[in-house]
Amino acid sequence: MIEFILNNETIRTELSPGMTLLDFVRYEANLRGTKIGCREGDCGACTVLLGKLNDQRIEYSSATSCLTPLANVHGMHVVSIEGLNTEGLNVVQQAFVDSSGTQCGFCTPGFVTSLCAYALNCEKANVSEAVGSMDGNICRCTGYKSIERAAALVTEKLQGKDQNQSLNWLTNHNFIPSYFEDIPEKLSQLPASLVNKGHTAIGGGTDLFVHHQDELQESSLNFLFRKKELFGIEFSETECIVNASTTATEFFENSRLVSIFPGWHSVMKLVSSTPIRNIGTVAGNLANASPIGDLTIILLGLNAKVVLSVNDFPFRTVKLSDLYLGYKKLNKKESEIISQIKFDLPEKDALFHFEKVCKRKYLDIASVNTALQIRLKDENIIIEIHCSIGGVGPIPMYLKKTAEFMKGKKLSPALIKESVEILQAEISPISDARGSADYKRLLARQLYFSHFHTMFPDMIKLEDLL
Amino acid sequence: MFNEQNAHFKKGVAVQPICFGISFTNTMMNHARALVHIYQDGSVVVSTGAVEMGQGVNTKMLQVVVQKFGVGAENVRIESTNTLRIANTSPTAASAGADLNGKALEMACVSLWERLENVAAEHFSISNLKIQNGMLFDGFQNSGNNWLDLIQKAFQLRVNLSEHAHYATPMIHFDKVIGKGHPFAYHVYGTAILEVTVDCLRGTYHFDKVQIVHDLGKSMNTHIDNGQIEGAVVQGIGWMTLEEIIYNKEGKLITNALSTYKIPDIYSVPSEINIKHLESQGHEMAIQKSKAVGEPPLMYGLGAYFAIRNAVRAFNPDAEFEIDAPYTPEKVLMDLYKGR
Amino acid sequence: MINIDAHNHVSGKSIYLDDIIEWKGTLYALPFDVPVAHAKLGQIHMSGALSMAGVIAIFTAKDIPGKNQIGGIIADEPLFAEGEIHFWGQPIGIIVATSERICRLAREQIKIDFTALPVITDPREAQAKNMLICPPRNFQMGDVNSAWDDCEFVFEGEVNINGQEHLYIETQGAYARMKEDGSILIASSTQGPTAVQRTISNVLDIPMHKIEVDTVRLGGGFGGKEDQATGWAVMVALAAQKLQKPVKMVLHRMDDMRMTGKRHPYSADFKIGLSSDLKIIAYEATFYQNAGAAADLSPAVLERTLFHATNAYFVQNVHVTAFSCKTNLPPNTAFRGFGGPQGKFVIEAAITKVAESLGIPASDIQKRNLLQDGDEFSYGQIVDQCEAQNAWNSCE
Repeated sequence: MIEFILNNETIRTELSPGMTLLDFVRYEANLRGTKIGCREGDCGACTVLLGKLNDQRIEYSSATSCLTPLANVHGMHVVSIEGLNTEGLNVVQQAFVDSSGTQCGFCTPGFVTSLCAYALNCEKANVSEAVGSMDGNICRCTGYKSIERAAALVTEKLQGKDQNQSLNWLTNHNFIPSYFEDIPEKLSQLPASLVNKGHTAIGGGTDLFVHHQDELQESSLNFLFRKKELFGIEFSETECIVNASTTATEFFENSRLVSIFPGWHSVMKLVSSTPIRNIGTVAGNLANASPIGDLTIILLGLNAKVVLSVNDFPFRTVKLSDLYLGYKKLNKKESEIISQIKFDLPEKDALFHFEKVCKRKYLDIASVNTALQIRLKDENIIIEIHCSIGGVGPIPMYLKKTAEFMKGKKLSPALIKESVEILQAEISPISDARGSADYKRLLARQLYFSHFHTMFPDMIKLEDLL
Repeated sequence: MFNEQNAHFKKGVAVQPICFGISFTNTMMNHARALVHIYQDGSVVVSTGAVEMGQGVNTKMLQVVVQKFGVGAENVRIESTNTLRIANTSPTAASAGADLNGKALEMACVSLWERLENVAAEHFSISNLKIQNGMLFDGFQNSGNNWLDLIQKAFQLRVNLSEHAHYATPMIHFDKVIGKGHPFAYHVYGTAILEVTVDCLRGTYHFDKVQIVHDLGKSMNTHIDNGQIEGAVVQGIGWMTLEEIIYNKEGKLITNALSTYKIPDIYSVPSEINIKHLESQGHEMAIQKSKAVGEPPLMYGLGAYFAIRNAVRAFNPDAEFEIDAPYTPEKVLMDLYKGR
Repeated sequence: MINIDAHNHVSGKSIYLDDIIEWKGTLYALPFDVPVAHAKLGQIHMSGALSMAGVIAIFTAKDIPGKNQIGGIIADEPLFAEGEIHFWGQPIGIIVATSERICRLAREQIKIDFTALPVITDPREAQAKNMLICPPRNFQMGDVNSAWDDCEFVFEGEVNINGQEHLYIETQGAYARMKEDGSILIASSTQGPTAVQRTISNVLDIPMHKIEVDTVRLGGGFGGKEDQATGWAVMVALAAQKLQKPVKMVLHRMDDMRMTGKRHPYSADFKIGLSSDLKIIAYEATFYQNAGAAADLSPAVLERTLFHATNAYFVQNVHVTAFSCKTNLPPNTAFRGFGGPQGKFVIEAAITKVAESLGIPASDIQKRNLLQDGDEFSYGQIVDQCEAQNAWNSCE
């Protein structure tokens, strides 16, 4: 039996754990404010809040309910738009009304929910973050300017937010209804565990539920989010260990990683959208084996390894660059799951950079994405280099030959131009919805140049490359 | 200046004037109906042939009634569009929904008002009926009676408190055979200036600013009309930039989902959209002289194509470019490096 | 006044089609098609789907009591394909089952035999083969042929403009239930309730007075639900009539995108002539509208392209011609601007080409030629209460 709190009501259900939360909310609970726009996480009309209890403290995040299996919300507080309604309108809703941020209204509950998630989460509110919280919501009517104005109004109202008593402050200031204050206590009484003996491994659901909702609803599923041992990011002296159920948000907001990688947050913004990052896992991105997975390209650039487990026991470790055999073909048995991802913490003098270009800068799948990690020593000799690139072959590529060519040589525009020839020989792009083969080749070169120009703006001038 | 100082970012500007004719070009479609019931408790319900799809037509319909009757908005309900209540509707399209249905609604309200004036004159001795906030005035003189008193009296007197009205746009005609006539009730004008910055390394771009002067006549609702303008211009820019429909040679749609067909998101819209209303007299055939607004501003977006082209040309002045919208980041990058 | 729906919108209380709480016994419908754009249709193997638990019925063209016809302007579009398939995504029939999910699973069990035929997606190719939706249209004013000699500069070029997906966030849908005497109530997410009513009347062979179409609101339309909402409403009405049960259909996004038409792609050739002081003396253009496989609203869209072919400019000699070209794409349809934007884009492209060739800003040409009161449009209407120059001057 799956148990959770939906708005202010405790739900106990024997319905299929693989049913989507969206279908449950709309057609079982008959809460029709949560809308269906695409059923693939690309529009945000179905956004809900998920509240998770963490040492007596409740943390809320936005999520696309269309890709969330019911089992994943066991023990959580699920909030639909109806659960955000106060007497009259809450501050976020009022801001949308006051700035005419709603026209046809179909996307509106999703936008309101995302911005409410921001109100719940933010520390020092600012407009650009508030706008960013709605990066997973698509509106076809307004042109977004009125929604930006709503975000500005909300940001202003959030200025006095008391971080220590945030739920209390938010209820008192009419951001959320008062029942929220009782939720942590209620959640603590729900059973933590859920019988989970299924077969097909599923993490956040953000990949498999895009195309296989109907099959998954009745499949035997192994919910990785129910396994405590798969949570969290750990560090040793020299290594970062990302456990399988780590979400993209956790990965990018990890304070240690943020301090190690300058610009880690701006990389995050390029990866999917807030509600998807909140539920999608790092390991899931690797297992998906898309030739263009952003996290895969980032981790390839970090020269990561993965630990494959069988029946919850670590079985073997493979280099990420050896995991991919062909298009969507993994060097992994069906019984194996990716349980950990490990990479060496970069040396102090190492630099890392990620580039991605797609039709739409955010919330889009790359035409080409690429990561580069590099270390130079005296006189600009390259002592370590890892370069990955996606969208230019059947698998996410680790550019072995390009890196080998560069290693030990002195970095210069001439060397970079020479190495592009090797890069071009390593890749084999095809024409598809993300661009023609010729475009991807050109883009691969441009983004490769961009790595060096961004990392060494004084040494590597674009004029010398182009 | 910017373009001279920046080797790898180029700005492009385009001016985009528009002129758009209002009316269905098929003259026979330019008519509409409205039905108004005033119930004995004073509440009012309205049906028209207009379909609400976010453009705010129901709000404009409500304004017509509230302004005519002088009652609060809470007294008026705009009902669904229903073929039993309103027959033979033209689709809500051609930017003409508010004009056609609003004019019919005005006519219905005028008829009801005339009957109510008679009741007021005969039974409340009000010769010059005005209603404000539900109170009946004789000129500027508060009569002490209210809307409900008036309606109940009218009901007692067996006055018809329902009205169905029909409006057909006057003057318009068009001879399809010779291709001449006067097909449009009026035209909507405006001009936009669009400014874009192209990242000439990556082929990506962002619109910095769109400045619009738009001819709304006498806007009856600036919240709604500005929303229509902002939404339309972004939709137009989307069409000219990101939104690319791809069918393969076999006729299969390749961009068949939101993951492959990209419309603007909150980050990809212009940093600034400034809208100025042109001080114009409006047009008699527009509802309350408030010109139709649904479609015209979309065409400001066309300038997006030419703004990008100007930026690309600043980087690559000598190449020959095709004109093939949308100007996706792919086409931009290919043009930037064409022949280089 | 703020939009009167705003309060309900922000609190999730506004009711759209799929928010109507289901009447008891409601069944769900799903269209099925075949992965080919042009083909001779063979046998439809439905037994696998029909034997699935929860599948109630499958309806195809042979189940239609009235006319198998939903074309709004020209009667050239069947509700369900019969004999031939003309575009990828053309509905062949509907599955009716006790849940949407069962419908989708059943759809995978339907097998359809077909023989593929040649596919045309390019409007110029269609025009060359004389595959037109309607006779070509043209507007003329003055005499372009004699005007070219008076021009200092003459430029020609080709322009391509792609289509646009409406992407209303609420997908297409409709919900029908029977009333007494064979009357039907249909909730439809449509911009044209009467079109839905009239078409159901034709397809079901019942008079219009037995059909009540009710539309509360749409989650976006943009023209995409002007004509294209009709088919789905007819399908649920048909199923409701056949089964005497409430039947609902809400399209999945990918079905919606595959099966519905979009803004028309156009290809065009232009020729533009200017005097030495940048006055546009003559403009000639030929438009090839990619209409898709049936007329839908294409002839009307085509006409508006011609109406707006000179945008906000006065040109004394105009000759514009337009072909509505029949291709194997879903029937393209109304979209905000209705062909006008494509007409305008071509003359803007022509002006840009002139400007680039002369090395001057396009705005010099645009400004020089703006409309003013007393000018004549190519379709004979006299310009009146013109704000073109005022708007330009206030914007600069």
